[in-house]
Parts: sequence; structure tokens; C-alpha cells
Amino acid sequence: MAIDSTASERPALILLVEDEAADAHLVRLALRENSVQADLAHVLDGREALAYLRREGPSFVAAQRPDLILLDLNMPRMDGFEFLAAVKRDAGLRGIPVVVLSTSDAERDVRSAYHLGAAGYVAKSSSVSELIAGFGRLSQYWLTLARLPTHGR
Amino acid sequence: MTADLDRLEMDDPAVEDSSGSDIWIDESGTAPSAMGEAWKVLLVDDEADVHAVLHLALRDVLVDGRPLHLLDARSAGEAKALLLAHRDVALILLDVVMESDRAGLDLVRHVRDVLANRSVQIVLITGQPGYAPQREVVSDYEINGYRLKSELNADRVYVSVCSAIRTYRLICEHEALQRDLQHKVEELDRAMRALGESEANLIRAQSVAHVGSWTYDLMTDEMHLSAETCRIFGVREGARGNYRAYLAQVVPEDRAPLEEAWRLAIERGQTFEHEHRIVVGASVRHVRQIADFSCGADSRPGVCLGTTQDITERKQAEQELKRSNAELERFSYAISHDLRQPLRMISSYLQLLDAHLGDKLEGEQREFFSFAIDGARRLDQMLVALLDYSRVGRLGEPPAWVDSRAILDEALLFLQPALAESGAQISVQGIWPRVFVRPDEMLRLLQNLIGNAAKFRLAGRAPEIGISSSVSSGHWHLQVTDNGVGIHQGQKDRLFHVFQRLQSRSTFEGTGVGLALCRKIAEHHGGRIWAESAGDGLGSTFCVALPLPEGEP
Repeated sequence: MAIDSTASERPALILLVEDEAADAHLVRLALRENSVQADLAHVLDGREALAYLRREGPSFVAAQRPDLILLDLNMPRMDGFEFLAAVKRDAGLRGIPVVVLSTSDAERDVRSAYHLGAAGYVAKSSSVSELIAGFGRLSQYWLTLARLPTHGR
Repeated sequence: MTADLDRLEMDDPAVEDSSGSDIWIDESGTAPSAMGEAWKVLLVDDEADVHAVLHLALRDVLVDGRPLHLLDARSAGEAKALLLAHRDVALILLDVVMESDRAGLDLVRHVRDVLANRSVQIVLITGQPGYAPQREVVSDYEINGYRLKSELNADRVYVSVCSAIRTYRLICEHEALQRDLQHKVEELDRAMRALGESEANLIRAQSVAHVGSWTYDLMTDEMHLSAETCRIFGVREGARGNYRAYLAQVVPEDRAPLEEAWRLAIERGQTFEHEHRIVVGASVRHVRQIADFSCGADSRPGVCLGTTQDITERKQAEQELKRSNAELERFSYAISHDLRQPLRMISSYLQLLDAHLGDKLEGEQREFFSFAIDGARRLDQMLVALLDYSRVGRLGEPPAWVDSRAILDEALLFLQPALAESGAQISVQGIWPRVFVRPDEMLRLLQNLIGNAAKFRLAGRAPEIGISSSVSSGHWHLQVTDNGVGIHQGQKDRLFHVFQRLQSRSTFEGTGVGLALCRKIAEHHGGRIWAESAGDGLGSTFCVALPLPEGEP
């Protein structure tokens, strides 16, 4: 499935919610390696991400609605689960697919994430090539789905 | 004398009534022997004629429906012998002058003092009143009647005998009652002593078990506490309480639920059961109260009997367990996230650097890189293994009844690639029972033991692995035997410790957690695991014994 470039005039946008700079860098690398055509907005925790999505505060006044959210679970201030729950409670935001990225492969975390409405769950592998390949493909898939004409808003 | 006897013969009503008594017997349809035991009457007289006359006078006489059994003694000496043989003589008709002038009176003394027989009735019948004046003998001797032979006739004999025997009967009944009473008093005494002992035992038991008892009267609002209850509540022994005083000692936030439970129990007449905290001095104790109500006449609860159990230690242990479980949970979570996260960074970026630098690296530099990458990878495996280890008994499936052979088959299926690769010969023996275990943990235990048997093999020799199972003395015994590298003597203790490795990493891969995990699983099932080996290169046997609960529901 290819991105229908006519579905939207603007390029696709991914919101990355991740407090670790090193992890954020790996995500950028994975997107690049997989030739995912998207801009990346990066925030450091759940609270900042909500502010972004609701255009609260001076830095987010002109924030653009993302087509996909990539979410870390383990973050300060507001963790991934709280953020996920808040997004799914918000009628205006719940349509945006959220893919979880986590070091944890604990069944409890995977189940909680899906239960809260995550679109996908990627356990960060310690093999970097596996991570890049797996993560890149998943992002591409959801981004494609998000950009299909029926999802366009 | 003779004249008296003649008169006796003539007036003997018993002789004339003999047919009447026969009729009475026929009417009753009862055989004479079944009419009840005969009254024994001892006739003591040295004159044969007197015996004959008395026999005649008393023939067929019934007293209260029972016949008479006449015993004859011709002297006081003979009488003594008969009295020894017949302890149940009811009446003695006794002559006074026989072998001596006072032989009869001496016999009275003998009966009363030597034989200590106070119940037998003694009627003196004397022909020579001068030898035993009536007033004197009646006052000095314990006799019950006095008749002169000269004034005797059949009626008088009958009346004397009847009234004497009735008196005897009353005395016997009285004695029986007294014996019975005595017996009951003794029984009561014993019961009181037993009660005293069991009360003492109860007090001891209450103090050992930290259980006290109390009674509470709902009408008078009075509470009586046992010694142990007083100890638990920190009040002086023998103290009394009431509802308000009790409530005052309860921790404020526990009062409302306690009052509600108490109200409901009374309303429904059900057993009261409640756990709450009480304040004793500066400390707080947990108590468990159980009480039963006994109902009064109007079927409303009247008095209640309760027990107080001091469960402070149990509550503290529960809280401690909860706390340490939660801490362990946080600890494992920290391992899986917080420690692995930076490690993953190290590992990821080393890999990226490796990929970028690729061809630019030379000989030794390339080696440094692979050491670093390998170290990071191994550390990650160890953290994962440690996480597994910490999860035993806490997470995963609850214990259930399962077919042990099915678990073995699953383990073998899982290990199939490794077993095929090593060329292992597997033989399975014995009886595989249904067992009560956590299935996922038992599967891991079997996988580890069988996997080890295939892994730690001697170079150039295909593994031969024997897996056997048996049941004995309430335990499930499991053995995994191999022909592999064996265990060096003196190393068996280290074998089951976390991260202990007996073989070099270069020869055998692994984290060093497998056997520690097996031991933890065995111990969590209430069993144990041990290893046997003749030494290096001589193969090993790993044995597991787990208790097998009785009867699958």
C-alpha cells in the first residue's frame, strides 16, 4: 500500500512522545532507514504531548494535528499509560492512532496498553537492526492507514 | 410350752389361706421363683419344736408379694455360720437362752458390732423373760421386737414377721438411696475436680493460643472477661466491662463497622464475627472477635459467649508480606525497565557504530567492539533471567491438577530442535501421576533439567538422557539422568546458586540462572531438588521430590 499523495496537501506528521534523547534518535534513524515520509514533532512527556495536541501554551499555538503518535511508556510527570487514557477519553483526539514503544516486554504492560486503546505495541529490541526494521514497518503501516481518504480530516 | 405351740397350730391363718395364695399365684400367672427373691428369715432356737411350729406358722406367707425362705439354726454358733453364708437375712427370730444363758443376746452384739449389720431385724422370742428382761434388752441391745413364747400365736407371729420385714425393706431402700446419693456426690466431686482441671487447662490454652473468652449480658450490659482477654486488652485480671467501655478502646475508625456488625448479629441472632483494632497503652493490637448469642424466653438474644483472638502478629506478618511483595514487584519492574533501558542504549549505539565504522576498523579494534557488544548482550540476558527468577511463585498460572506426562511431552516438544541437534537418545520411564503444580513453572523446570542434560555433554559422545518418574510416601519423584560432563566433587552446593557456573562460558553458553530457577520452583512447590554425580566426566542425575497432596477433588 502506498501513500496516496493526493489525500492531503501537507506532509504526514508524527508526534513522538519520548524523554530519552538516545531513543528519540533511534526513532528518527528508523524512520529514515525505512524511508518513511513524515515530519517529526518531538515532546518529552505525556503532559507536554497533551498540551501540544490541545494547542495549549505559547509554544503549541500553531501545533499541527499529527497523523500518528509514537509513545514511550516510562516517562516523568505523565507516563505513557496516563497519556494514552487521556487521549482516548478525548473525543477530538481518540481518532489518532497511538503506537507504543517500550523497553518492557512484560505481558501486563502489553495488555494494559492494548486495553487503553493502543494501535500497536513495539517492545524495543536490543538488536538495533531488528528494532529499526520492525518499528519502521509498523509506523509506515499506521501512517498509511491514517492518511487514507476516509481518515483524512 | 406345748400349750403355746398348740395354740399356734390352731390359729395359724397361713395354713388356712394357703389355697388362697395359690389362687393368687395362678391369677398372676407368675411362677413362684419369679415373684421376686424370698425374704430370708433366720430362726434361732435350741428347741426343734419351736422350729417346727414357726415353719408351720410361716408356711406360704407372702410379704409384699414375696415368699419367705426360712433358715434354721439350733444354736448361736450355727446362726453365726449361717449369717456369714447369707448376708441378706432380713429377720432373725432369736431365742435368748441356748448354749448359754445369754447366747441370744451375745449373738445380737455379734450381728450389730462384729458383722456391723444394722439393717437385719432382730425379734427376741424368749420363754424365760427373767434372763432377758424386756426393758433392759430393748434399751441395751439393738433389737426390734420382743415376744414371749407364752404369748405367741400364729397371728402375732405373722404380724411380727410382716412388720419386721417391712421395716427391713424400708431400711434397705433407705440404704440403697443413701448409697446412690453417696455415689452421686462422689461423681459430682469428680466432675467438679475435672471441671477445675479443665478450667485450669483452658486458662493455660488461652494464654498459649492468645485466645481469651468473655460473656456479655445484653440486659444488664455487663461483660465478664477471662484472664487472657484481660491480658489482651491490658486491663487488670478480673476486671468487668460494658459496651461503652469496650467501644472506647477500639480504634476510632474501626468503631462504626464494629457497631454495625454487632447490631446485625443481634438483629439476626447470628454468630458475631469481626476483626478490628484496639488501643492498649501506646500500641495498637488487632483482635478477632467471635460470639454466639443464647436466647432468652422471649427468643431475643440474652447472654452472649465470645472469644477474643489476638491476631496482631498475623496481621503484622500479612502486612510485611504485602509490603515485601510490592517491593519485589517494584524491584523486578526496575530491572526490566530502568536497568535494561540504558543497557539497550549502549548495545544499540555500539551496534550502530559497528555498522558505520564497519570496514574502517582493523583487527584488534574490531575485537574490542565485539567484546563490548557481547558483554552488553550477555548483561541483558542475565537481567531477563533474573527477572524470570524473581517471578517464580508470584506471577503466572495458579497451581492446578495436571497430567505430569503431558507437561513432560510439552517440554520435549519445546526442546525438540536442541535435542535433535545434539543427537540425544531419550528414554522415559516409570509412572507419571496427576500432580498439583503450577503448570508453567513445572514446564520450565523440566525444560531446564532436560535441556541441561543435552547441553552439558562430553565432546564426541551423544547424550543419553533417562527421565523417570515415581510416586512414594506422598511425594512425586522425578529424575533426569545423563552421561554428560558430570559434577566435580565439592561443587554440588554451588550448582543451584544464581549466576554460579561450573563450566566455562566458552564451552557452554548460558546465564547461570537455570538451576537456581529450578530450585526456586521446587521449593515454591514445597519440595526440593538435588544432584548426584560420581564426578567429572561421569554423568549426573538431577532429582526432584515434590509433595503430592491427597486426593484430587
